[in-house]
Amino acid sequence: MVGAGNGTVYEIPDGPADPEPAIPSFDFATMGQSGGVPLVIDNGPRTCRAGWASEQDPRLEFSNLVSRYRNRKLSANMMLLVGDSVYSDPLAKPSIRSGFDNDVVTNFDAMESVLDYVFTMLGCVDERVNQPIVMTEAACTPYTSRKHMSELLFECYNVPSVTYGVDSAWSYYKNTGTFGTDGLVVGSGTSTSHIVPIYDARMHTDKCRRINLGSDSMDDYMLKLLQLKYPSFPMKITDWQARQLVNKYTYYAQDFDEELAGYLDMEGLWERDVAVQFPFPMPALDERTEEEIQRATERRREQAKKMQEMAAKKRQEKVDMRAKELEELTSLRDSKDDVGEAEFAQRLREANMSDEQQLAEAIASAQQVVNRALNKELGIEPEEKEAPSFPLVDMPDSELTEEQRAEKRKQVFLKGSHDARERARVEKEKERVKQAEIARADDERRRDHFDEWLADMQAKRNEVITRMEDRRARRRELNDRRSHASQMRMRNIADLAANESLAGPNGGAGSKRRRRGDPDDDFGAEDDDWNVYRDISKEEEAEEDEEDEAEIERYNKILEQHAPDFLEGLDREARAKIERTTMYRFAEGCQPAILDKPAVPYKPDNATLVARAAREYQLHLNIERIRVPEIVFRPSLVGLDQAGLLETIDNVVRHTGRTSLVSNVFVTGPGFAQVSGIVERLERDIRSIVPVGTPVSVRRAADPLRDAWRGAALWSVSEADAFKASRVTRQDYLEFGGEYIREHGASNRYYASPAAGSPNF
Amino acid sequence: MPPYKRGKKSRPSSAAETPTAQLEAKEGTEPLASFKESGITDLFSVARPFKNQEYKSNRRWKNLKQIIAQEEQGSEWPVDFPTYWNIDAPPSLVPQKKYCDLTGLPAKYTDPKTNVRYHSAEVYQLIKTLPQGTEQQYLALRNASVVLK
Repeated sequence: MVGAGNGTVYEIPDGPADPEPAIPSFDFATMGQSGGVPLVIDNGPRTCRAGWASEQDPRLEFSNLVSRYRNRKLSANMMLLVGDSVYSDPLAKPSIRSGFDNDVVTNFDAMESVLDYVFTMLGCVDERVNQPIVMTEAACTPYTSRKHMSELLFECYNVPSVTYGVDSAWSYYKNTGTFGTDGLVVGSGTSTSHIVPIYDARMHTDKCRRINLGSDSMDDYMLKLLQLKYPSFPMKITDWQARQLVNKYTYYAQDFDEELAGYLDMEGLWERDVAVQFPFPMPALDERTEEEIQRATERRREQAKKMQEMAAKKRQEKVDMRAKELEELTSLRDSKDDVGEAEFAQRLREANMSDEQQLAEAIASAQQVVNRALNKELGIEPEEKEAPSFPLVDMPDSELTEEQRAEKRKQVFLKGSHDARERARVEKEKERVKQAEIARADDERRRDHFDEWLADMQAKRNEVITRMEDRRARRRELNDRRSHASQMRMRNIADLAANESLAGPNGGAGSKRRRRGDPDDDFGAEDDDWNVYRDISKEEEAEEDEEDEAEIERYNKILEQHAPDFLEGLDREARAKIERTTMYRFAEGCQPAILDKPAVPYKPDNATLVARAAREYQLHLNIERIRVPEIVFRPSLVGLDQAGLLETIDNVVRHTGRTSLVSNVFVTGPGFAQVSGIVERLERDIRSIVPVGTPVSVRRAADPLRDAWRGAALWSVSEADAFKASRVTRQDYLEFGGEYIREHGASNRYYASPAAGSPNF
Repeated sequence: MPPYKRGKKSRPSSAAETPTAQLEAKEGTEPLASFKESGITDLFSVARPFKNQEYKSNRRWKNLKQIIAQEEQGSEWPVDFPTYWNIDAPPSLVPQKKYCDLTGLPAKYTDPKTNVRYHSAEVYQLIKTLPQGTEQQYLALRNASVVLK
């Protein structure tokens, strides 16, 4: 059982399988043999089992639940669902009721529906239920409960007789064959667990002890633990699912403390940890094959090429047009000599030119465009433009005409901007050279002293990381109003506020002092003084974080280029650091950690993407596997102030004064008896509290769930005399009251309470 | 019978086959034999002749706590007679070991601020970052939370 993990992933279903409508039996008359065969009902808080005493197994086995509700779509009348069919209609869910409070029946309306269902399903079509009833009840059931049960059976169904007994005792009978053998019955129930001794051929509820914990407590504990362990789990974990996990994966540690201490150790965690997979949505995947991806890239490249060609063609067209225009214009100019003055002017007008000068300008501009295109085609770089000259700038104004002065103003302006451009260019060039020098030095250093260079990089990188961490820590501290950081901040704010209010427009003495210049106020003398504003703000940090992250990114890029191994090592280390932590192993088992920001950029493939999406919907059970069932031995784990199982067994055995009972300890019931390892654990623990050499033997019912019913059936058939004597008949009921029972081997004790006849009950 | 689909169909599956019969059926009038094929879902639609029609409980049922309180005070019980309330296992006499509220591991320390027990410094780091109120949920696990009334 310990090895149930082994890296397996358990895919948990949403809920129970959908119930089918139950088909009733039609052999009531034959089976019942006109009132001769007892009808056995194991009325448990979770499951009700019912059938004929003459058969091996119960005919019916259903959840002891009832839902009485209205569904207007189906029927105008109220509907009544019993058993597992309460889950067949979502509308029925809010009305689901159980007849039980803990292990005692308290709601007899629900009980009536359950009994209706039992008799109907067994095929009873008579006027009354004319069969002796054998029914289980809790150890030391309150009289009120039994009274109502008898009333229901006798008044409503008119049964001839009823026999009550305790389920775990009958389970003992089934597995022992007699009440003649002494033993200690450990009955693990749904909400309670009992330890009852059997000796003198009967069970002794007077020596019985009850621990108010059962399988429900374990399910509940499991659910709460998981909810707290994964506070942001995307799914709602249901009670039903928690129960499945308890049933499937919990087990008893033989030595709880020893096993617990090493439970999260790396070694063997793989075997102990169980991953539970909830249904998860598929992530959007890139489903293309390698080839398809390549083809897509190819296509993209081709498209780009086509676009470029088209653009070039367009450009060429433009140039061609300008060339043609140039030709026309030139021919127009050349025609001046051939044609007359008037003719030429006419042509100019036709070409939309006002005079010859405009024509010359047009020719020049067209020529420039055509030349540039031609040069580009021939691969000639445009030569450095000659520095423009500004001849008028240095001439005194007095020597210039009005027109020249205007020209000079223009030249002064142009020269200014030209000089500025020149300066910037030189500066840039210098900077470039400097950067190149740094890069070269860096390269050289890397080449010659790689280790030093790497250490340097690492130091720089770590510095940034430390800075970010400090900020994070500070932020965390600021969340706490009473932390030192918060108090410093408040003090700064208060100081600043005080100064400001003093320096206000109508401020008193303070403002005067400020205006005069306070000799003591040296705020601002140092640049760091201004940090006070940064310190009190909470927002700006995001910006700084971004900057730092960009810086790390930059370092990562350089390192990736020159020392990829080192970077991978960093990632490996970071992952290992996470995986080493207790909390990570507690929540994630032994899966590889996923880094938020890996130093090596990593593009996950499809399988990884799916696995990651699945992980979001995964729970890990590890310590819970032994922690949950342990509550029975240590009720203090769930804050219950009661002795645990072992202590109570000790208590009961001492109380009876029969140490020999421990040589026949019998575990049964739907609760912890189902958890694997209980027999060994109990045996080991009991051995530790009894004198050395005392024979200790613990066994479990062959079927802890059904043996109570089988035992009751077997007992009522094979111990016919005892059964006959134990029947409470209608006569008894009328005479002694509803709580009356005739004691037998598996029964509770009866005491005619003075208030028995009182109507208060 | 088609499998029942969760949340889509809002009615029991047996009704799907004979919806009109279900609608017209008055409470408990259909004889059992007519359910031989379809099976029973709504018990009210089945005739239950074995019941005494005059029997009506019509009671307000008390819960277990009320029943016990009433019985315990209602009459005098012999000292050694086992009753529901006196078979409770007594409080434990052995010293209780302490376990980490978060992980379940053995706990050496208790956070004085929240009273949460923890296993190691690493767990403590986590406790410090817990959203407010979560520590009470952890304490509630062992019934040690502060309950405001």
